Amino acid sequence: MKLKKASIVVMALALALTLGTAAPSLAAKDFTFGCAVPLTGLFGKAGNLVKDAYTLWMETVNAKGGIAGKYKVRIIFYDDRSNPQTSAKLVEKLITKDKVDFLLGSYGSSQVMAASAAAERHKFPYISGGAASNKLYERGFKYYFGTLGKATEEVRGNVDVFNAMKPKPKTVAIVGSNIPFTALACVGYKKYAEKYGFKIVHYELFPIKLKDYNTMLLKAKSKNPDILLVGSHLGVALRVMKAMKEIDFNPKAVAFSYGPTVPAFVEALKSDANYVFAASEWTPALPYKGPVFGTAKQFHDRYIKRFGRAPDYVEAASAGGCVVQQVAIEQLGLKPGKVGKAERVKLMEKLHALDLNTFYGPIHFDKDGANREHPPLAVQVQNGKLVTVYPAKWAEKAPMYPMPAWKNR
Amino acid sequence: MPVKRTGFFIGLLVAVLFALLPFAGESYYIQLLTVIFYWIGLAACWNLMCGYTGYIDFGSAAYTGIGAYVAGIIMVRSGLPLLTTIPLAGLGAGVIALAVGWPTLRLRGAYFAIATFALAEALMQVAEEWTGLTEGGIGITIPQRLEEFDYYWLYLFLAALVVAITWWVEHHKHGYALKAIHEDEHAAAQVGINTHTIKLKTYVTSAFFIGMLGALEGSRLGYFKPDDVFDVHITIKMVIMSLLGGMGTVLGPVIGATFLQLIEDYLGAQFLNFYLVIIGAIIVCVIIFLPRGIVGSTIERLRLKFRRQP
Repeated sequence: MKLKKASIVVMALALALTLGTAAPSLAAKDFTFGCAVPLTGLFGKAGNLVKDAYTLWMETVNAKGGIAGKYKVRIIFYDDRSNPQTSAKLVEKLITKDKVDFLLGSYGSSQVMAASAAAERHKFPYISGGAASNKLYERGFKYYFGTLGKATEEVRGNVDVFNAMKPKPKTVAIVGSNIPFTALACVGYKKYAEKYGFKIVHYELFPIKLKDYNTMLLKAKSKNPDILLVGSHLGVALRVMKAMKEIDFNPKAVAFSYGPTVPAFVEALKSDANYVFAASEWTPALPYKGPVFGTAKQFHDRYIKRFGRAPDYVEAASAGGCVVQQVAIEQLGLKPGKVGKAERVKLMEKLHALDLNTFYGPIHFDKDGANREHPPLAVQVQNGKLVTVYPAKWAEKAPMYPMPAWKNR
Repeated sequence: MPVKRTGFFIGLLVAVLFALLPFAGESYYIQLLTVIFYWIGLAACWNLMCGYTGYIDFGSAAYTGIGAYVAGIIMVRSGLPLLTTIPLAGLGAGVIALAVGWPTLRLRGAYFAIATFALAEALMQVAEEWTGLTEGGIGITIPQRLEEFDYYWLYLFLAALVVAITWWVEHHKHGYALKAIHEDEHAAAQVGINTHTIKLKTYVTSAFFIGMLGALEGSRLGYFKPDDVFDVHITIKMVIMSLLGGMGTVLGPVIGATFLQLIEDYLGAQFLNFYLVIIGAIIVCVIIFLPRGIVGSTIERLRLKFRRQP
């Protein structure tokens, strides 16, 4: 009896496996791109945003006939489960088994570190719009490119905006989770806070898995800082906001390195999200424009139409990476079915040489693969909407400062 | 014992055949097998200790972490070649296992599981906080890397070695003692088995190999941070692979690790959005229908079958 049951299960499994094997055959007229991103696990949420950005790029390009107007784009997505070992393995798989023509970059510094090392070995250009750790650029790689700024520089807008305030606040507290991106954000905060003469009254890195944010923030509260600067991603930012309200922590302003620009931030916190500052690399208010998507605003509108929500700067940076790779492919006149090692070496050289204006802003990679610095930006949540508040020349609104105490809101 | 020896030589032959595979050229399957061998090695280490004694270690990731950091830090600080740091990483893990195993192996059942779990978490915190040594959450970059095929061969070698040790244990007095501990530790002690020493020896051996595997994988990734190498999911995967294959059997972890990696690889490509659900369902099915694991339950059935026949 038991044996029979087992054999039914085995048969069902075998059936399930064979159902999936009929993979669509590749037309030689298509370019195949491969992408391993975290769709589940710690970075699953953010990884899905990157997947959306790539999907929109693919659909936009294909609607215009494809790359160079005639070669359709196909993307193979894999889930690396936020695990670097899996990420590297899947990039190997895309290159050696699926034989993709090109790669698209992942999200999260650990995954990108491992995946780009695999890409480098096979001489595949790898452009990420979702990783910012400075260490990515210290490896002497030739095939790695990043469209985001380095993590320490990316947060500069958060400090600049307060430096420009009158009267200028005096003290800052810096806290952040201890994963690379957020820890480096804190290093960046410290660097610019010292440069502008702010007094750092508290500095703490806490474990990413920390559950009790109240106790952690009470330490910062006891130092009574004017400004709270947080090295964060979305989850950390949400927990910090909840804890601030619970312990009635009222600095004059709070700023996050990442989180508030993700639509889920305002959705989750509602009116509590108001007055919050965030560093950004891109907003739709900027006067950027270029091929494929048109202006920054047009990219933004297209995103809302397709996904029913606004894109954040990581999505813009990811789509920007697609655009620059596409332009390089077009300028080299590459054709599907004829992309080999020599072509990809040329592509790498082209990517280093290009100086391109896009909806995401200028893209020009330095020798280490880092994008030339974008001007520091700060955004703020005002009445439930993200508005650009710094620098003054691009500001949509003046910053709302100081933040009222929780009991008066 | 001709039957047993035949089994050993078949195993050896299979390992040699796999060792020759890279000469056929580079392909994705080499990559896939590299990862499979790595997991066979880890699962076999876990099975060696926990499958045979019944002591459930929930902190094995402590030793992948120690291994990775010991080798990594030595390479960064002293520039010693990678291959010399690997045995040092194993020794580091072994020494810690000795220090930890001495008191904790006197604990039984859930208490041992909790103690080892706490160990891995505590070490992760140490690595996070001791930034002067480990660079903390920013992560550490490993300056050296071997060739792709070297990882393939080394993982194959280490996995084969651990499986061979398991085979030896299975057919040796040491193994009978471990099984006796599993059945009834008091009784085992009363018939004259020095249960504490024998558990400690096994635990340290297992940690030694886990440490070497962790060190190699750290260099293969080229960059890691504490929560990558002390990740509790590493331990969970070792446990699941052993359970799937069959705890306390020589081939259990081999089959379990291969099976899990292959379905993960295959289903991940075919059903991007719900493959984890399918894998979960498969694991549940195996555990319901084959409670002793794939290998364990098959052996049991074969025995029953042959016994019934006149």
